[in-house]
Amino acid sequence: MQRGFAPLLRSFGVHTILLSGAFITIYPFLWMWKASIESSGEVFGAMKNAPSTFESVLSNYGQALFATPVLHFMLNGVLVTGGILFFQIITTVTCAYALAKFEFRGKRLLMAIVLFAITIPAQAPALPLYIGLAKLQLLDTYFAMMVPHLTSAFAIFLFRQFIRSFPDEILLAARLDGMTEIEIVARIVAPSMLPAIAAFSIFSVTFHWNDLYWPMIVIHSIDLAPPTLGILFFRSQEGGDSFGPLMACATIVTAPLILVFIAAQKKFVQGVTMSGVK
Amino acid sequence: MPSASSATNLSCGRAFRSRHEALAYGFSAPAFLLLCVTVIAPIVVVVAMSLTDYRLGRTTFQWIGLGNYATMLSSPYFWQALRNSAVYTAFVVPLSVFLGLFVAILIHHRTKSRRFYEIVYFLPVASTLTAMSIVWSYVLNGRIGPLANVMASIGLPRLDFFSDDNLALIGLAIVGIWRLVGYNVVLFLAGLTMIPEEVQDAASLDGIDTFWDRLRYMIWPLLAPTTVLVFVLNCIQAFQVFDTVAVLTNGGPRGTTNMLLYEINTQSFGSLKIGYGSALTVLYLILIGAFSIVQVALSDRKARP
Repeated sequence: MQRGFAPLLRSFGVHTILLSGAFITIYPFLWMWKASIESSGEVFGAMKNAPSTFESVLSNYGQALFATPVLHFMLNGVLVTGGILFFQIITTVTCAYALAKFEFRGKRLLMAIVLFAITIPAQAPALPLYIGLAKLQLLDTYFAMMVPHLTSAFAIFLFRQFIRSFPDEILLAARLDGMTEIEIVARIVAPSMLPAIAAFSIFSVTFHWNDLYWPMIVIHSIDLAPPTLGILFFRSQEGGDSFGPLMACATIVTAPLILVFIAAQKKFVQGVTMSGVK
Repeated sequence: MPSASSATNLSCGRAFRSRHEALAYGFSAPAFLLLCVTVIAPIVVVVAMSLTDYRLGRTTFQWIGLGNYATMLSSPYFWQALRNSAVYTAFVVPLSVFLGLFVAILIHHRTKSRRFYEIVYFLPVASTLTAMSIVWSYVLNGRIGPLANVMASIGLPRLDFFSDDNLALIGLAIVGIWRLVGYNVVLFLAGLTMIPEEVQDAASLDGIDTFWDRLRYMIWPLLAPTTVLVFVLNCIQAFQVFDTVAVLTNGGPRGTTNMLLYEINTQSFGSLKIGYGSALTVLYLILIGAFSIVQVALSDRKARP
């Protein structure tokens, strides 16, 4: 009797613990969602003649989407994270290829710089970069938001590991076929390391979509704000009245990454935990 | 394995080699220049500026040696920020590591529900912390927050975390733990997957069956390297906490949640005390750098068989 009963009991206990933890973890999301589909009055307390959920959803999300610049913030976010990612991939794949497959004077110095740069936290160069941008009158531009991140020492290091194990014979054959080195990188090397590029892309996009520190320093106009900064602008402008729309904005801003995560769970986890290395 | 250059030298000779060197420079130049301009030069400049009394907008400055560091060491705000960061870390890291390990061990043996739990526990890591912090500001609110409502219903006082001197740091720590646990669960699950099945079977034959025994005799020794790595990673993240402070408390009330990175940000970009902000940045750099070096050393050892 114990044999059949004990494991069942234990499994019940384990699920109870895990589900409690899961509930606490997910609670803020549930609360955000609930607040975004109710009228502000309902959230702050009991309310007579509360409008129907349908009306509240329409009003909250309608206001968020069309009366606030949240879509504009999202567009800024897409431009900035997309621009950063584009330059990061171009500069790091080529540099990693050179480091992995070529001998040249200064290679050890370059490698040392890469390793040093990996240990530098993103906030440390902020002050000199801010002064430089101020002197060049480039504060409050997309360029200012992107420039500290146009390359990534971490990606160079990661991609170099991949390219090192790429067979030299294939490169040699391609050269003998008359392919230029740029063609080799673009058409042979880069496609072979798509999994690594994808994982890094998720890491990069997540980091820059969520970044608040640097945009807060260099961006002052609401027109250029990425989603993180934009939602703070919105919160400080509106009081408690537009609580429903605020929560709708929070939901809209959080949704893209969560959707990517649920759609590509393995890849996403792999990409985000890579930040452990950086 | 022969390197690329030796292979190409064999077949193509000397002229090819110098052309390849030019190509290598061409390929690495953009990244090299960007790293120099956006990382190396700024670090050199920040160290140099920490020895000056420069303020943004002024045209001249003077070298004042270690004056900024002396100011820093005698500033109550600096010590308060450092102490808050240390308390926050001491609170958040052990709890996050323990909870992460605990949940990972429980999830590890689930078959059908594993994916579900993985997704749920990882959600905070996948979310935008700035937006979720705004949500937390209501969840932990003393007037409308659900936690306060529950406490009031059982006759306890309504805690208003972010306006109370004694609770604000705890409130931030709760959000910090909420976010770190899922991150740790994933890292521990990766570590657990590397423990061979035979070891686990052997352990259960030896009668190591209860959770605590398994933890003590089997999982802990094998997971120790992962645990140390997770611990160091969490310390780095805890010392870098900024978003929640900026959204939830702005360092207040009365500086009780002013942490290192927030103090750097206020002094550098709020007061525009460039010299002093640089000195703080250098200290921050040394602290995080020390953690990073430990981390790289550990990952290296882990990577080797």
